[in-house]
Amino acid sequence: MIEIRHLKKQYENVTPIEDLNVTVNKGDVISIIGPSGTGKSTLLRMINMLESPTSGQILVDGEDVTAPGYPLEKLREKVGMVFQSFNLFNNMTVIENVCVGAITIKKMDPKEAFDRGMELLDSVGLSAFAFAYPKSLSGGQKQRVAIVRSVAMNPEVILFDEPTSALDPTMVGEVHAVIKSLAEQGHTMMLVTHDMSFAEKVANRVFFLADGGLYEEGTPEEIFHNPQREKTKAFILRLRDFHMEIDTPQYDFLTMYTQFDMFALKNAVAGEVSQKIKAILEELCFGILIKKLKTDFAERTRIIIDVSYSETNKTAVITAQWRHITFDFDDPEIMIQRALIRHYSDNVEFTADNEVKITVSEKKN
Amino acid sequence: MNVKEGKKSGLLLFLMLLMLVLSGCGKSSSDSAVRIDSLDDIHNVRFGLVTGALDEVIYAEKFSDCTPFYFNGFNDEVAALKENKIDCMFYESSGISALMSETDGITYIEESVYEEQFSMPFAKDTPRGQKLCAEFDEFIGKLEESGELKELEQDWTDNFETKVIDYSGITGENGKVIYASPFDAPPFNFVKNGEPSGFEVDLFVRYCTEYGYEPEIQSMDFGALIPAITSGKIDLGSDYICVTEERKQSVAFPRAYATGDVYVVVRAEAEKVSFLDSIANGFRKTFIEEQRWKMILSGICTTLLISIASIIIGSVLGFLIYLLCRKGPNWITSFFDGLSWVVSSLPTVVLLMLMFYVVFGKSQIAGFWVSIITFSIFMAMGVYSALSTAVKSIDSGQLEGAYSLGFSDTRTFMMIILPQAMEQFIPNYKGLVVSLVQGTSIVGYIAVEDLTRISDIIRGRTYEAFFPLVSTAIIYLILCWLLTLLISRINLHITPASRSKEEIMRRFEK
Repeated sequence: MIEIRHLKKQYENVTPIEDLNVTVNKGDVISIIGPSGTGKSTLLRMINMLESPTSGQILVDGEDVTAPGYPLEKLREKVGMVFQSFNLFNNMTVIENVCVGAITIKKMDPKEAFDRGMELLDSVGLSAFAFAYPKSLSGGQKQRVAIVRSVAMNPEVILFDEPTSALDPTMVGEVHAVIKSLAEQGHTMMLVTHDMSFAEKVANRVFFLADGGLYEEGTPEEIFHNPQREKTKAFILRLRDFHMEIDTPQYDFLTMYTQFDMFALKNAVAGEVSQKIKAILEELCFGILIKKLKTDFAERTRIIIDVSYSETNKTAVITAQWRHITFDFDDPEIMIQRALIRHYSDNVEFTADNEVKITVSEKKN
Repeated sequence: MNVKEGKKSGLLLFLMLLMLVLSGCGKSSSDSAVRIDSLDDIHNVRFGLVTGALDEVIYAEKFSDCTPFYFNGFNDEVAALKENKIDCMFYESSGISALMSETDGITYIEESVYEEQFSMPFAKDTPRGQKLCAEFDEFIGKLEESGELKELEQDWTDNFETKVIDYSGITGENGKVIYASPFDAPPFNFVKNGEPSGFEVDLFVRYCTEYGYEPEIQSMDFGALIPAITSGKIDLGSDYICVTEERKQSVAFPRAYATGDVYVVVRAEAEKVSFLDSIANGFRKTFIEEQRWKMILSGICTTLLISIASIIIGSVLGFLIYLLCRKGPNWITSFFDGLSWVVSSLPTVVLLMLMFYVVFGKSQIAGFWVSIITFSIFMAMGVYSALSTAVKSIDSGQLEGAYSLGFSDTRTFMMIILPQAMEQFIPNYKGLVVSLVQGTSIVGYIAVEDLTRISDIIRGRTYEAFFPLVSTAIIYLILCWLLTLLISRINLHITPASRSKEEIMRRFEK
């Protein structure tokens, strides 16, 4: 269905894609992952020619869409796109957003288009909002409308460029549900996403991009749990690791909580474990570290906290390391904090002079 | 107090202040004024001078110890004298009795300070100018010999209120000759019943009759006459212009048609007039006398015509230019950005004069059309700028969303970008329209009789400031208010969010 041959994209200072070769078959649901700067979004945007490649070919249904003069409207009727920032038309109601493409471009009968549009909206639970304007919708609702807008064009392939990255964690679920149902209906889809647990649920193939091309490919089981190549391994490992590096006394601990929530969601951390980790981090950071930071911070002081999680045994390990600063864990002033940490955790072990490992699991203490 | 009460109090305060300010008008000047009874009293006082006139020469010779104050014309000077802003001014002998009978509160010192030769300047360096000048010279010579010249001058001085100019002998077989004057100095040049009149105008018409020309008469400020003659916009002009060595260097003078003494005019003891009487007087002089309300109506029409034509042409042009820049190569956008910057940086009056005297300097096109062209350009550049800014503020995601559905750039612009840009564009547009209407008030500089110019002419004729100015102000306010109201109504219609469900459903009908 889509064949990409020797694709190259070069910018002034950087070449994210050197030589990319992939084939997409009908019915494939492909998740594209990789470190930032490896051209994942760029790849997607080249498939529907929002950006043009420096060299190489993209064939859709056998036709080379990168050829000069190729009618892009024809391409875009076949290849739809859902954006990170939704891009709904603010001057039109929801139903107009959904139908305007079908009526204006596909020349569908307006009445038919309207009925079909309402049907589609109903299937995602938004038919009550048909006459509302995008600005009165939440992020999750907007994205569902954007997806419906794409589907209304009856495309052969739908591209999703980080569809849930701009949403706050509570709305991610509703959008994932819609994408999952589209996959079940047999639509061919390509998703760029950082949400690994979702990628695992919905994709049948995973592309890991690195070194200017397709670095490794496989099923979700293969890539996420048994990566073969070096960089893939390193990336997967890092995804499963929550990392905090405190190098200033003014470190923003509050933002850290939100980021941890996203990490927990993406890695399907069991709820109870997630709560415990947060409680421990709170005592560790607010109870012990901050006080010390304000008084003892020197220029080269560093405190590094890592949280890694294993889905198989639902256990997390919090590792805290510190340099050029000392803590007295026997200080009676932090007695309560220590007690709380021990309460929430399974085990607290001082593995070195400046390192402590805290194990957390679902087990009762 | 809450918002509504606050607004009422504010409005009340404004009205009270307005009444206070306005009631300051129409009253006679204070008693603490300087008294001047003879030429010897004139030392270290405030002297009014008309720019570009002989006034400065006489002043420099005889009264240089005084403080000079410059004015554009006689009527402003007289008003200033009456209001104790200056203490003396010059005036020619043949106009002095008319001046004294026209207005109260002033008198003059009956001792001549200068003798002037009055003549009408022509272009010096063109064959046409030289020819007309020679003809006029011959014409005046004939009248002088027969004694008709002196008779005519006397007749006008005595009977300027009733004397009528005879146009019956005009054939126009030899083409047009254009004459201009400010028409603010009876009995030589003034406006009667909305028509130009006076000794100088009479001479011009007789000259045209004799030589078979068709006379065209325009109103123009004194200071603009000589530049208009040297640039060829008009053939001759007059306003008690006297021959000086300096002027001879840029224009050609035929022989003098009159001579005059110059007197010094000063304040006199004014009779006290009641406030109500002065209001009634002012109203009568501004609107009723000589059916001046007709002039005002004509001024309003001119202002409206120029404004509305410029708004419509300019808006369409601006929109088209924007589309051109959007589709075209970069250099077109740079060009119009530059032009837009020039038009918005220059004061409107400078822009207008550049257009009239430089760009259209060589052509005969009338000031009215130059005004429309200039203001259309002004509007077009404003619309182009405002539209560019409004569209730039639309997130590029809207474009990408449309492209990803297969929309072409044109469709995207018309259906998605433009409707959203309107929200930011319309307030700017209202401001442009108001600026434009205000801007048209300067077309008097290029001899177009719009509302402001008419109000000025009436003010000059009646020496009345309150009524002409206040009524002009009110008319402008009403005009701007109506236009912005219209735009708001239209805006409501085109706002997507204000559509009813029925209107939205219309999109889905077969």
